[in-house]
Amino acid sequence: MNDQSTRCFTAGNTVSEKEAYTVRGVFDEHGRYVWRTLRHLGVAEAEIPDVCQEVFLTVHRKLSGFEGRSSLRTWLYGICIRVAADHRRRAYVRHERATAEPVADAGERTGHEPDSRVEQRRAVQALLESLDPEKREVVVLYEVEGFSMKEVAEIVGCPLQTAYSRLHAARELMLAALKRESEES
Amino acid sequence: MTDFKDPPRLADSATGDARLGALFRSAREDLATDQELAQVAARLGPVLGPVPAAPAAGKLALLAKVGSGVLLVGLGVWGVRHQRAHVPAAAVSAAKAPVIAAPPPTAATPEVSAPTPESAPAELSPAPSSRTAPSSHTPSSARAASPVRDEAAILERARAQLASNPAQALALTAEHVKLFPHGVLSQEREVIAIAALRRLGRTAEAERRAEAFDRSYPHSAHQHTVDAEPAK
Repeated sequence: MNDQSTRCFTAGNTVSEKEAYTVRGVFDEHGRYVWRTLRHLGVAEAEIPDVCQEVFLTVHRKLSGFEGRSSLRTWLYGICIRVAADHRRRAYVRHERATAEPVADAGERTGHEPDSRVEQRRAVQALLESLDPEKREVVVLYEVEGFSMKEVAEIVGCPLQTAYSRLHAARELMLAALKRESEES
Repeated sequence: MTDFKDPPRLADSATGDARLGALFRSAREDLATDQELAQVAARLGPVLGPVPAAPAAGKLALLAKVGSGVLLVGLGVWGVRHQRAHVPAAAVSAAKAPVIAAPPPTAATPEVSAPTPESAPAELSPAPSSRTAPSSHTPSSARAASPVRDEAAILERARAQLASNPAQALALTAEHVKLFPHGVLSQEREVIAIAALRRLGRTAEAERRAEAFDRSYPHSAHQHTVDAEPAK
């Protein structure tokens, strides 16, 4: 199953030309970062394993059709964005709390985590929650994942100028949120 | 990678808001743990393909190998479960993940007197959610150094025994329960245990354990897989 369906041959930024991509290779190299992205896109901690699995199952289905027009990483994060968005919609329809209370859930401890990490995560999630999904995606991809704005625009599927506008607006909103928090405390 | 016009990132900027910068620096560091990643690897199982020979993939490779067998077994287990006449509708949740085609286990039911395994827990260990990593609950401090690897090793042995010696497979899952009552691979353990019970012809126990699984993991990806497309 895997030899045929999980390989493609293309140039990429981490794998040399004609070297085969495999789902395993993609997972081993990017899985940790995909998890982080899903977390910051508002997927509740309890749901991340399911959604992460869904991302890589999508990779499994589509990798053979990956033509290398974009980098593998850009292609992968496009899948992340779409899967996370689908998850949010489903969660909303089911009236689940997956995204309804992301701040409390996302700040939950995962194993032996120090208090400071939990607090930081909660603060980050609260900040990102102040943004609408479109701005949030741009912020996560640019500020956390380190994509260029050109790549961000490609991943989210909007004009470059629109991506810049979203980033600028998001920064303003986040600063305002922090200011409000400071005034209230 | 960065285009000329791209503004400095908040985490890197010395002139921007300090708190905002600190928050995004922490966000960058908030990666999945080995345990969290291993959990996904185990679920993906056969999708990840064969275990590479190179030891670099180490832990993940081993876990994926376990997951591969577990998922194959899981489809069979759930396929059988779907044949139960009284499967409650509530237990069938909406599928989130597409099915990975895999054959059901063969219907071998050897007359083997199994060693006494852990009986089906009324409520399975509360820990095996994605948020719970092996922790101070782990009884053996010696295992704390690489609990996931140890978990995976036991379950891999259990998986390997399932077809030829389900009694031994069941005994190994019982060992896993004792050593890792809150392990991150508890769902996978239960899938193997249920399959072993079925192969031993202990259908009532298998059903009880499966129902306990339903209660404890109502959103399990193992359920999703089977619910979406029953084993062929």
